[in-house]
Amino acid sequence: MITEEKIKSSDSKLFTKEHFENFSAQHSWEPGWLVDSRKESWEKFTLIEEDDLKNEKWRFSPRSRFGFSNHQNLANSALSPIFKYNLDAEDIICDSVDNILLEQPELISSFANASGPNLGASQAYRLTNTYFNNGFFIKIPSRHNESFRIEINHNLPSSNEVSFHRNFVSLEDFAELTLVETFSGDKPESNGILSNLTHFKIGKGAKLNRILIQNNPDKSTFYNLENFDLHANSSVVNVECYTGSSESRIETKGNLLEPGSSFENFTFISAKSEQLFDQRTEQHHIAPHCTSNLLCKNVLQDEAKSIFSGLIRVDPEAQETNALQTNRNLLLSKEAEADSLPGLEILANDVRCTHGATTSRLNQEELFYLLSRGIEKRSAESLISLGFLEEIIDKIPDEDLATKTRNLVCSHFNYSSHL
Amino acid sequence: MINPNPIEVDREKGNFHYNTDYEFDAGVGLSEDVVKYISDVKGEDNWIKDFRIKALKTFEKKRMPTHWATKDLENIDFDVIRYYLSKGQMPSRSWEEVPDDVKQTFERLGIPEQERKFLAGVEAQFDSEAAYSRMKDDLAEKGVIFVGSTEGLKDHPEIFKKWFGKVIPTSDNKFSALNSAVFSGGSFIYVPPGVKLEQPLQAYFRINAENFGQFERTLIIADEGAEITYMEGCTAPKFETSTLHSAVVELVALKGAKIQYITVQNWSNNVFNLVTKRAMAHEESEVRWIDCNIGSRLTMKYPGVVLRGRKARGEVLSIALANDGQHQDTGAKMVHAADETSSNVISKSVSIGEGRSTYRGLVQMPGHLKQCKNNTECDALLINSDSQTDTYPAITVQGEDHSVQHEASVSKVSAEQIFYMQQRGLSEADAMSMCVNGFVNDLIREFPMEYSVELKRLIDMEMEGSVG
Repeated sequence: MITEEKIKSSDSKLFTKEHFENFSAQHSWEPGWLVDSRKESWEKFTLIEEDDLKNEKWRFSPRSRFGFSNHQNLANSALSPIFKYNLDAEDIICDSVDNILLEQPELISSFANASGPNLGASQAYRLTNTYFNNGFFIKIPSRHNESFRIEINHNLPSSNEVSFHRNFVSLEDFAELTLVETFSGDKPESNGILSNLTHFKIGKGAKLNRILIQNNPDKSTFYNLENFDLHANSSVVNVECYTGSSESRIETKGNLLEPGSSFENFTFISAKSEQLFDQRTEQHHIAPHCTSNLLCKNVLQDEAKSIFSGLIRVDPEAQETNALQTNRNLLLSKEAEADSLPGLEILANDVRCTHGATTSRLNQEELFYLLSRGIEKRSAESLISLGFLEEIIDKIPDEDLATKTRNLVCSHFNYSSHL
Repeated sequence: MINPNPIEVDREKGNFHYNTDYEFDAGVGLSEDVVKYISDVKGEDNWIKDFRIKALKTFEKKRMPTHWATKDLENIDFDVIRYYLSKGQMPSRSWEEVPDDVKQTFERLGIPEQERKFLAGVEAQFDSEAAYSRMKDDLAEKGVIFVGSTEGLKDHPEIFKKWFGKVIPTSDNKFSALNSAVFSGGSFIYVPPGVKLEQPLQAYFRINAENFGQFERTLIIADEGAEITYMEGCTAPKFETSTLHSAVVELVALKGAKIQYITVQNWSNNVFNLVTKRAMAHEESEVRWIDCNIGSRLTMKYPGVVLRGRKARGEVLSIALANDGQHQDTGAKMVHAADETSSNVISKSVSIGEGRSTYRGLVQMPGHLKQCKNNTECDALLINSDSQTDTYPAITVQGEDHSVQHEASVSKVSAEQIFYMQQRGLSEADAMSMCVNGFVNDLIREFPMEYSVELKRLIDMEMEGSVG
């Protein structure tokens, strides 16, 4: 089932030693640990074997669509990300990685060895660590337990360009944050690539509410790799909405490192035409008494394809784990395809773990009901789909954002809603 | 404290062996000469010999599937295995003619009693070849063929050649290629149109020699409207070294036919049990795999049904028990290839001690089909804190006209249930044992009556002092 298409790694200039050496020369001003880290990542990148690319972690995925072959240049780092927030507290740090590296590089050094989700996209991961030229850094100190809200927009690069973003979010003990990230592009025809790698460090009792809305240009490619480290009694509610890009590879990993932590991940994908969404997740229970929940709902039209591969992994020490994982796919056309790989690896016995996966079409009775009331088919489909996704949209705490997301879904049905 | 082993499975029943002199012995290790020797001894036609030699090349070319399967596979040493051992080529038709040591073996396992009781036919395979094969006379009159693979290919090529190796191609996986190169024994069954077998046919597989590899090949063809139930049982004595069992089982259910294939696998803990089983279900036919895995060191078995006729139906019911030192890697494959096909998979596994059970599933529904349905349920029960379970289903659905649901859960016996029963005077171990029984019983009820007799004989679930 693993696709045999070979990836010609030599096609992109980014993959040449010469390019890396040029890049290093330009970044020689950076602190030593960063220079070393980039170099190490580059070396590991060159060691990735073709074999690694064909493993189970890419099962069902048409790998050839995830190449970097037409992309020769790194995008200008000044255009993205763009921040929007209102913080009055001076000790909160929120800035672009560019600026942090110039002013307080030691902040990032604590993340130097932070790992990624490592769910298969090793090429993108190593390249991002090698070439990242921007991203954001957020640090909320422990005494701020009132909830802050930060909005960040990532801008997709122009055609034939690649952006590598590496982001760092650190919530100290008992800090709270609502983080809204949007991904879009001002050039609708762009086929650019954005590879976005985020490390979340959630301290004791801290709370993170994160909303991600991806509405990239139609021809772009998107990598989103994120790793959440949760410490004692912390909680993360992560809501992700995907509607854009030609192909997206999404890797989300939650590590429940200490007792009492809770990780919730809600995702929806609304896909049409030939869009491809390849989503891999892992809920890794390392400590006892943790809970995790994952719900992923996909609506697929035309020739769209989605892959959901989720794993719940419970270590032998993680007794009294409660972990759920659900994937629901709604197929609206003959050519749409949904692949589902829900997995469990349980090494502790005192656990409650379930997973469920369903794939089906629209409820014909519901559709008939709407049609019989004079609602045209297209609108009826969009209404039912919207209702199907509402379970996720409902988790967005901000009504304006929720409305924005609903409109994005409706626009996929060429139907403008007035919700 | 919880009893570390609430289920006592009778694994000792098969743990004995007699020294036997073999008339035919292909020696140790695998080579083209070994393959030719097997073919010559059997006096096979050239096309089978070529088929074997080609398969050997495929086997050598294919790599071990350790990129997704357990690394334990690397412990199989193909060079120390004996690939062919037999006392003679033709099975005896009457029990009296069976050589004494072989007879003793099967009598100890209760074969002739079983036959008298409720079976329509029996075949008993001792290492590479069938030692005994008998079917009730009236079935032969109706045209039912029940013979070993050697006989089947020799005497009825017009029937078996057409389907041989068609459901499971040689290159399907490394072990199906190995089987295709060195296969010997197994059953070839043909049930003519409209013939319904009321009683099951049974095959009994026995490994007797140390370091032996058993590679039986079974092909069952149920012609239009025919019905058949086939049961197989497997045992081997416990040796220090590992033993390999790698079978290929192909079923063909033609229009409206029904095949039920029941396996009780109770290999000793040194057996690698790597089996490829697949059925081709034509229009309105029904194929049901009932699979019970209790023994072996590592079992990798994913019975499959290719639903290629309209309204065909496939089902897999599977129970796995993994105890210390065991890995039961089982599952099911449902490939929908025609409209209105449906499939159902129910899998229950119990992991005890350091045992590990794995479910791997595959469901495929392409977009050009209409109204295909699949239901998959897999439940795992973990008894001890070192027990392990994994679930890896893979579901591919295209098109807006299908429905698929998959559900899996992992749990332990709940403290409340144990507490409730303790309240009523049961010891904790008894309570645990009852819960486990209840967990599996669900599925055992689905099994045919005759089968539960067989099952009970092999799995002796201890319920000391149970209520009423």
